[in-house]
Formats: sequence, C-alpha cells, structure tokens
Amino acid sequence: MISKDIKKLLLRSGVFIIPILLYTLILSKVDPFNYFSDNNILSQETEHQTARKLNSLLYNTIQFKNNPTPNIIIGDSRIKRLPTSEIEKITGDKYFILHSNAAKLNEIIDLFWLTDSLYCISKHNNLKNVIIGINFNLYNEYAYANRVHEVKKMIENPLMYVFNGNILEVTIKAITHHFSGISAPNVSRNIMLKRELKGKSFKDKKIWWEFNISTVAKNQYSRYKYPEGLMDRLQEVGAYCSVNNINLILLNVPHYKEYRQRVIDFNLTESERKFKNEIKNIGTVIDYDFSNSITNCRTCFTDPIHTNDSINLIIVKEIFNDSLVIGKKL
Amino acid sequence: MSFDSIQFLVFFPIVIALYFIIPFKKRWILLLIASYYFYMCWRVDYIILIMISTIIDYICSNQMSKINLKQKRKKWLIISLISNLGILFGFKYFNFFSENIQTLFNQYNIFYEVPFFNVLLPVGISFYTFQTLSYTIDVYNNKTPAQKHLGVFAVYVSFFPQLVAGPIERSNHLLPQFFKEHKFSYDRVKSGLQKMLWGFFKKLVIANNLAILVNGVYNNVDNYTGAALLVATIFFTFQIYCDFSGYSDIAIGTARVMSFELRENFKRPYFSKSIQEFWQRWHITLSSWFKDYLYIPLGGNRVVKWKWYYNIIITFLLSGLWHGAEWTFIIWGALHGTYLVFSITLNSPKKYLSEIIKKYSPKLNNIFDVTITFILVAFAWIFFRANNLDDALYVIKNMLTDLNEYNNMGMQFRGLGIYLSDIIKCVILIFFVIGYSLYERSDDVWKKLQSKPIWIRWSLYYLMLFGILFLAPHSTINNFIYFQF
Repeated sequence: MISKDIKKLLLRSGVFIIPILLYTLILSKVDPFNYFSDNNILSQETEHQTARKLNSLLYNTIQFKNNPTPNIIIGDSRIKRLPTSEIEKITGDKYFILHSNAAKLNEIIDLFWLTDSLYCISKHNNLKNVIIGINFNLYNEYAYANRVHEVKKMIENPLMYVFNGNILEVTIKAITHHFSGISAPNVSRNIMLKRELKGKSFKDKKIWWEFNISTVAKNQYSRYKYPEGLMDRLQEVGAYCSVNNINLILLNVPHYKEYRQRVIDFNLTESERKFKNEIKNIGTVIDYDFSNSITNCRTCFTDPIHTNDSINLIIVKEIFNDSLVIGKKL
Repeated sequence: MSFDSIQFLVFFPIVIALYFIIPFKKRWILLLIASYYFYMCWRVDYIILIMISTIIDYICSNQMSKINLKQKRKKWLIISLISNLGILFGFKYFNFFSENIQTLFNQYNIFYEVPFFNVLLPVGISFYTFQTLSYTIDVYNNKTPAQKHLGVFAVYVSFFPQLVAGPIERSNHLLPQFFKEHKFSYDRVKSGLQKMLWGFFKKLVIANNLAILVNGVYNNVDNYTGAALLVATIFFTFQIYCDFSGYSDIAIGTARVMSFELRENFKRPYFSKSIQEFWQRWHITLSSWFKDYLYIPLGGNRVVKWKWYYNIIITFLLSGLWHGAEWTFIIWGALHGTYLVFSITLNSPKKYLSEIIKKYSPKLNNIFDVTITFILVAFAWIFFRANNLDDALYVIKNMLTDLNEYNNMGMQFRGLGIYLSDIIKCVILIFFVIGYSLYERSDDVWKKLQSKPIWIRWSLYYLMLFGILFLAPHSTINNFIYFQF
C-alpha cells in the first residue's frame, strides 16, 4: 500500500519534470544539428544561419557522421570555401570539408582522429584522402583550444547533447529563425570584436583588414612558444596514414604579404622556417605561404588570411591536377 | 562512484526505494551492500582496506569494552591506532617520506636506494580512517559503548553518503541512527533533495566553471602573469568552497532522504571575522576532530604560552599533512597555524584598532575583519592549489605585477578558450553564492523559503536545475577536490 507521502512525492516529481520532458521533445523535433536524424522541421537555410554559423565544429562533425565520405578536408575557416564540386569534377571523388571557425592545430589533429574513427565505425574502413589546412600561425603553444573533446562527448552520449547550454541557445535561435526569418547574431563574438575594434564596425572591409594586420596578427605572433607536443602528434598522424594507406596532404594556406610581414616583425622567421622543415616529414606538403603571385595580390583575399573564391579554385586545380604553378611541394 | 556521475543517478533512487521497501531490521544489509558497491565502482580491491579497518576496530573496541581498567585497555587502542594509521601511512605517506629521505641521502652522497611503494591512493582513506579512529578512542575513553553488531558497525565505517569525503561522523551521533526505524516522510525527502540540489549546483555549475580557468592557469603557471594569476587565485578560493561544501551538502541531503542526519561541515566560512572563526566554520567535522583528538590531548590552551603556540602549530601542520603528502599542504597548514599564533599575540593592538574603527562604524569594522580574514585564507590557498612549491612561489611573486595589463590577461585566457563572457558568467556565479550565504545568515534558506509561495520555490528549483543542466561544463571531468584526500 503506497502511503500518502509517497503518492505526493511521485505526483510532484512527475509534474516537476514536465518542462524537461517538453524541452527534450522539442529538441528532438527541431534538432538544429541533425543529431537524431536528418529529418528535422528546419530548412537547410535555417540550419546554416543558426547551427552551422554558431557552432560550425559540431554541425560539420555531425554532418560527417551522418554522411561519411572517405575523402576529407580538415581545417579552420581558411579551407571552408575550397570548391568541392571542382574537386569532384577533377578526381571523381566526393570530398567533405570539416572546418571549424578559429580551429587550432591541436583541434585539427583531434578532428582527424575523430573523423577516422567515425568513418571506421560506419564503413569498416579507413579514410582514403585527407587534406589538412595548416599555417605557421597555428603552430604555437599558445594557440590552443579544446572544443573537439566536447563534440566527441556529445556524439558518444546523447544526454551531453540534449543538456548543453550551447545546444539550448542554438535551438531557441533556430526556432526564432524558422518562424520569423531573423538571423541569429553571434552575440559574444560581436561584443568581443566591438570591444577590440573600439566601437568601429567589423563589417567595414577596410577596418576589418587593418584590424587583422594590427590586432589579430599581434595576438597570434606576439606571444610565441614552440609547441613541443604538437609535432609528435602530427608525426603520429603521418605514421598512421602511411601504415593505413591514407593519402595525407598538408596544405599550407597563403596569407597576404602584410600579414606575412608580421612574422618578420615579431622575429619569428626562423621559427617559421623550422615549422616548414618539420612538417615535410609528416606527409606531402603543398606550400602557398611564401612570396608569390597570390600572397602579393591584395585583391586575391577577402581579408589578409582568407583567399577569395577564384584563388580557391586555382589552388584546388593546382593540387588535384598535380600541376603546381604557384604553390610548391616542400 | 561519484555523486556527479550518471551511475549515481540510477543508483540513488534504487537504493532509496529499496531502503523504504525492505523491513527495518534488514536495512543495514542494504546499506552495507550499497556502500560497498558505491566504493567498489571506483576500485574493487581497495574495499579490503575498509573491511580490514572495520574488523580490527570491531575486535579492538569489543575487547576494550570487556576490560574495566583503562591501563589494560590501552593495548587494544594501540593495536587499532597502529593498524589504521599504518594502512594510512603505507598508502598515503610512505612515498612522500621515501622521496624526502632519498633527497637527503643524495645531498650527503649516501648511495642507498630508498624503496618506493607503487600504489594508487585509496579514495577517501583519510576520511574513513579518522572516522574509525574517533570511534576507537571514544570507546577507550568510555565516551561511547562498543558496537556489538558487526554489520551495523561496518555500515558506520562505510556509510556511502559520507564515505569518500565526509562529513567525518562521530560514532555517538551516527551509530544510534542505524537502530532507529525511519518511516518515509515527504518533508524529510524534500528537505534532503533541496540540500542535494544546492550541493549539485555549487559543484557542477559554480566549482566546475571556475575550475576551467583555475586549472588552465595553475597547471601552467609560468605561462601567466599578474592579473591572470590573481583572478585564478580568487576563483580557486570560491571553487574549493563550492566544490567541497557542495559535496558535503549532497552527502547530507542523500542521508537525509533516508532520514539520517549528518553533521554540518560548513557555516558560511568566508564571512569569518578571524582565522579562529574560519576554522569553526570550514570543514567543521575535521577541525573538531583535530581539536578533540589532538589539540586538547596535547594540552590545548591550558598550558604555558609557548606550549600553547606549539600545540597550535603541531595541530595545523598535521592538518595540512592530513590533506596530502606534499610540502605544499604542510606549508598551507603551517601558514594557518602561524596566522592563529599571530592573531593571539597581536590581539591587543587588534582590539585597539577595532575600537577606533568601531567609533566610526561598527559595520565597517566587521567588513574590515572579514576582508582581512578572506585575504589571508585566499593567500594560503595558493599553496593548497599549486602543483608544487616552485609554482606556489611563482604565483606569489608574480600575482601583483602587471595588474593594469587587462588586455594581456584577456589574451592569456583566450589561449584557454575563455572569453570575457565566461569570466562574467563566473563572477555572476560567485555573487550568487555570496548572495545565498548572506540570505542564509539568520536561518536555513530552504526553511525560509517554506513560507514563500510555491511559484517562488519552484522557480528557484528550476533555476538551479536548468543551471545544472545547461550551465555546467559536463564534458570536462572535474572530480571532487577532496576525493584525493
């Protein structure tokens, strides 16, 4: 016989958890990252304007998990716009771009291992072609973040996905976008940029360009420490690829000459030379970050570190047709 | 098993349900199985250590109870002390002493390889050892009767809510509760769950968020300067409070759901007006243990002055050593001992200064005392948190330099993936816990809220629950700090 007190507890607990069950139900239907399935109620436009924009790392990783391909390009925003359609036209192979905004090299390595394991689980095979977007500005002990760990945890445990502040925020923004079409601003990034730009708009191309040369480059190069563990980890990736017949290419992405000058300004020329020397032993290295017709051309860039679409096309054509003109193999 | 694990989410309701279903006389069996299982989830073989302690203390105490003459009882007390402290020494302190002896030998060119013991420190060993020690000493002193029921005694030693990180219970408080029939009570369960909720909030939301910055800085101190070190130290001061008091609240709440009352371990310690008061409010069950079983037997303050100071310093040195076999903990203890000795010797000038400030405003005097105590405590935490002495000294040397370099600090934190918004979040959480403590000043917060409308109470429950679900950094593993002791 259940006592009155037990009944009261069960009833109140039942009522108490209703909002949590409701949230779980809504999330499973909205599912802006396609975690549970590809069939959510959102349009692709909404997903791109919310989930992909606010958490590109998680969005892209789940996309890869849902539709794994044996060919993958991993890196930060600088490889985001490499034209995969052109690659497919040249090679006949589908490539997936797994980019994460402001990804650090340690995260890119983490992503390599994560995608390889996801592909192995799904297709019982190893990846075939891996291109890693890299640059000296990532080769710094201080250039460190650890977001892939959280993504991995979320993929392993749905509770981590359901009860996550970022997922809640994106879900609310996705619902808002779905019903009103209002895009979700990245508030914390905008506040940070506004502070650093002293109130000026980062949408002004000239201001944004100058900001990159003066502040972003300074942040990246003024504090430099040789990343001891990173090279070991890269070598591990290289050895793994070589044993498992994975074609590994390290693409050293170009920076505009003013940005490159900052390496000299901060007395890091020798460190950069060491970096290029060391990555040669990992896999095929294709270098675009030296004085050449791309790095000397301002109009080839949307900002000092991001090449425009026509340059991306040239880079892709050069790499996949194996006819390097501007780039060079190290 | 840890309170903040998914396992516990399943374990806890099952144990509670079974506890109230099975007959009262068999409940100790359930509690014993649950407690041993709780411990074995961490490591199976170390349960043997708890069993050994239990059996030795059971035998010793029962033998003592048969002997009237205190002098004759002593040998059983000594057997208990040697075996319990021997296990503790072997697993916790042996390597520390070996390491230091080896360093000494090397310095004097003595070529001898001091043996090392390659073992993992058993979780909670200091807690349950001190709990059983207090029982045996109390039996020896005729303060508590020897427990005849081995099963119940085993539950007392291993009671899962407080097994791995306290509160350290006294036998005359906890043992009788196992013989009391507890009926299911909605109010008690609610009160226990409220306590647990606040404990989880403090640990998972506040302590774990602060830990990201603290661990990032303190695990690589030489990458940081000035303000970054200062912020990390202040954050740690609140992290350790929320971590440990959070654990204690969960432990007390868990026990309360089953109608057991454990002793309070914290009483708003950062509002203490002196170091002496701080130790009456911080980790109360440990400080009272040291007071009753070490400080007073040494003579306490009823001795000549130098002996009194000596008693204080020894007590705090051993309290530091209790926390960990590291010089940093010993210095932390010694610092607190020194603070106390100074506060005694400087009592007259302090009183004089207080009188002057009180003339202007008594409140100002309180604020002044609380602030000074807080600074002293926070300073000592540097040694507690630093990975080694060099790191601690680096922090002390550098924490007050470049304080104007806010941008530099921002850049240093960005390397940890921490942005201004994260710092603001942490500061708000710190103010939340301070606000809670202020509200708690006159009475227990939940008791006060009982008279408020249901929507206020439920809003607070949801605020905490959603905080736990959505603000806690679940992907980072942060064990309770006191698990290592």
